[in-house]
Formats: sequence, structure tokens, C-alpha cells
Amino acid sequence: MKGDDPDRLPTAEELVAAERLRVAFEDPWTELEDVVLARALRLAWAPTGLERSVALRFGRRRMVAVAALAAVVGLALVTGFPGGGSVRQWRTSRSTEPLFEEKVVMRSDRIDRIAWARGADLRENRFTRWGVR
Amino acid sequence: MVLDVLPWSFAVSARLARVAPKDLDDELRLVEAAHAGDRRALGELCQRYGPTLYRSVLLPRLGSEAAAKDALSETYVRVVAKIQLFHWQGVGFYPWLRTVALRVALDALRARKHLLLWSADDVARELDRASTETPLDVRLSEARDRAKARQRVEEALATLHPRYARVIRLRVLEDRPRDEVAAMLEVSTSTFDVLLHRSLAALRKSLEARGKS
Repeated sequence: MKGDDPDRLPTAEELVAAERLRVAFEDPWTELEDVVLARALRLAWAPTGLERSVALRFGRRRMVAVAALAAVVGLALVTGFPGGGSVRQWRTSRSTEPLFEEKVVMRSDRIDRIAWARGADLRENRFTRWGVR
Repeated sequence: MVLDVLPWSFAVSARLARVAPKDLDDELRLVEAAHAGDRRALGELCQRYGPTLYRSVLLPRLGSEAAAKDALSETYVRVVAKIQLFHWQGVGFYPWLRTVALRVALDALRARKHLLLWSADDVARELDRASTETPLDVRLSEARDRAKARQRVEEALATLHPRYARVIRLRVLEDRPRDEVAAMLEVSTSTFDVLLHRSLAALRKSLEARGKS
């Protein structure tokens, strides 16, 4: 690898790949392998802090409420939420399958974004369950 | 091996005794309260160490903020569920919390589809070491984790052509703008794009080769 000449003339494929990389570097949602690796490298070198708002989610208020709310949520899951009033606080993770006429089997960036968003919903619901919301 | 470890562990104990007896007493009280079912105490322990765990353990290994936040969330779930399994060993709550977080990171890495700086095998080895090494207090542990992450980056860059390593250092690690890096390297921006592509491709190949060896 060290034997490469970094400044050799680029091939047509390399020019295309370099342009794709340039665009992906500006895209926070990109899943391009090299950009994902570059971001991981940077975060290992200079890790960012956990935002205070997120850190505080695990603070006293939440933990005090954990037992009580877990019991309430557990009961509600079994018996249903009375009047549906509490349900409005929860984010709903829906399947995207009804949106497509054909079954989607190929992985795509769009599906990855949906999966990421659903993952965020799951996280938020956990915070809700623990009494943060 | 044991002889190598002993003086060092004594030094750590001495350092702990010197810097943090009051903190440790306070932490022991919180742990005892958490064991007795006090969720407020458990929350305070988690709040105390969550940011450190995120910054020095989860983020470097998982390589993305979203993945690290998910892992931190999962770590808290496991802590709440397993707090009764924690036994006080005189060095605080953090070493146990770190081990729980490493197990969560291991699961996350096994499910990842992208190549990262740490592989699941790397974290599995760290977990093995964590079970045999002398536990460190939070400050020593964080300093060691941060140094280890930087060392890992340096080792990865050392496998590359120096020009590729410089490109990655300037553009990725130092986060300098594309135009500025191109000027520093005395190339056009389009040539720099090709250089960056080659640099990251070389890094990926190097990490893949390391993973196979």
C-alpha cells in the first residue's frame, strides 16, 4: 500500500468515485462506506460530547419516576390506555410496507434512513417510558 | 505477568486513596441505596458517568453519534436490570458500568454492516482484559480509553503512504475545509478529491487486511 504513487493520473472510475465521495462528505445521511469510516475515524480522534439535554434525560427526575411509570406503562400495555389520552405522547413506528406496491427487498439508503428514524423513535419511547417525557 | 501488574495496581490504589476517598464514600452510599431499590441513587450514578461513557467508550468504538446514543440507552436498560449483580470492589461504579457498555458495544458491532476502526473481535478482547485487569477509577480509565482511541487512529494511518496519511489527517481528523487542504497540498481541489478517495480506499483496505490477519 505504501508502494502506491498517490499522484498518479486518475482513471475515469476514480474520477467518478472521487466526485461521489465529495458529494457524500456534505451529506449527513450518507451511508457511503468511505465517509462512514472517515466519520468514525474523526470521532475516535476527537469524540464529541453527549449533549447536556440528552445527559440530563438520565437524571434524577427520570429515575425517580422509572418504577412508577414502568408499572403504569406495563399496566396500560396490558389493559389499554384509558380514553386513549396517554397514547398521544408516544411516537408511532409504522411499517412502510403499505406505501409500496411491490415488496422492497433491496437495501437502499432510503430504507436505511427510515430504519434510523424508527430507531430514534424507539429510543425516544424508551425515554418516555423512563419518565423523561 | 502477575509481578508486572502488582506494582502498577499498588500505584493505582495509592492514587485512588490520594485523590478520591470522599467521592468513593459518596459513591458507595449511592450504590448501597441503588441496591436497596432507590432509583434516584441509580439515576445519579448513571448521570455522573453517562457522558464519559459515551465520549470515551461508546463513540470511538461505534463510530457514529446515533449508534453511540442507542448504545448508551441500552447500557442504562441493562444497568437498571442488573444492578443487583454489581459488587463493590473499592474502585467505584465506573469500571462495572464500562464493562456493561463494552458488552453493548460488542453486540452493536456484531450487527454493523460497515467497516469501523474497532471490530467486534477487538471489543471482545477488551472485555476479556477488563475481566482480568485491575479496575481503574473513572479518570484513569477515561484517559486510557482516549489515548487508546488516538493510538488506534495513529496505527491505522501508519500503515498508509505518508501522503495519504497527511490527507486524512488534514481533512478528516483536523476537519479542515477542502479548499484549504488542497492549497496546503499544492494541488487543485479536483486533484485533492481524487487523493482523498485514494486515501480512504487505502485505509479501508488496510483495516480489512488487519481484520483478516
